[in-house]
Amino acid sequence: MTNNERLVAAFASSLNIEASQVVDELEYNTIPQWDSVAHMVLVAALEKEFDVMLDMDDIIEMSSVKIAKEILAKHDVAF
Amino acid sequence: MAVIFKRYQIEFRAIEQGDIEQLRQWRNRDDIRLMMVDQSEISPAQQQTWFERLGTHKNRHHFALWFRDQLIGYANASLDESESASTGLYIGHEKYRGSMLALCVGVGLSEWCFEQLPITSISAQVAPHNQAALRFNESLGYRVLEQNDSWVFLSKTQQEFEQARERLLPLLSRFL
Repeated sequence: MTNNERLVAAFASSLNIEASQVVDELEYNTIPQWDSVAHMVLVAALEKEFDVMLDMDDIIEMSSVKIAKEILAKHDVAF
Repeated sequence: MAVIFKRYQIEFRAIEQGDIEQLRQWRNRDDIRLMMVDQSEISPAQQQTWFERLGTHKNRHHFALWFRDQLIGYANASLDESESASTGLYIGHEKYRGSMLALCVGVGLSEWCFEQLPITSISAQVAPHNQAALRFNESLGYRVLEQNDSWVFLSKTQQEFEQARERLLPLLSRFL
């Protein structure tokens, strides 16, 4: 699996949405499934999938799929 | 600025005159107001009266929520009946609406209630259509007691809260 496929799978399972919905433009709080509780599940899933530890700013600022990729890129995950 | 307590990077401060207009504007937003028991819009005069009476609310504690020196919202805790409190909160600051900070506030406020108030449980009241708030409260250990067409009534004991907090700690620890 590519890193993008792993990210899409993590989003889809954490937010309980279709993989096709996981696009760069998908933003936090714009769908009912991506609320603060799901965000917590998502952060844990991304950390486990990519073996990274996100800090407070990462968690707060991760407000879209695109930004999630940018944050993971800071942790040497290439997309 | 009097910080009453601080948890998970959130300062729970005493409400000051300079806070109340921003709090009123957030409180009147449809997405916040329509989730409350009292859904009426608050006028500046009503807000001023409310503020001036805060000191007389012996069993009700009001907090201005601050994060990184920015006012972000409001919370309260009320000792409604023997051994039980109720709490309420909203995050109004656009950047932090619905963010993890709401969980930080929720956990911090529950901790403070169980530590400082003579209670064995905390209750909450949520509109049935507010699925986000129901999920939010359930993540903080609340369980549904009863439900009617207008409201879902929830409650949690200290043990239920601590079990829920245990599940949240891996992420909350980033906010210590």
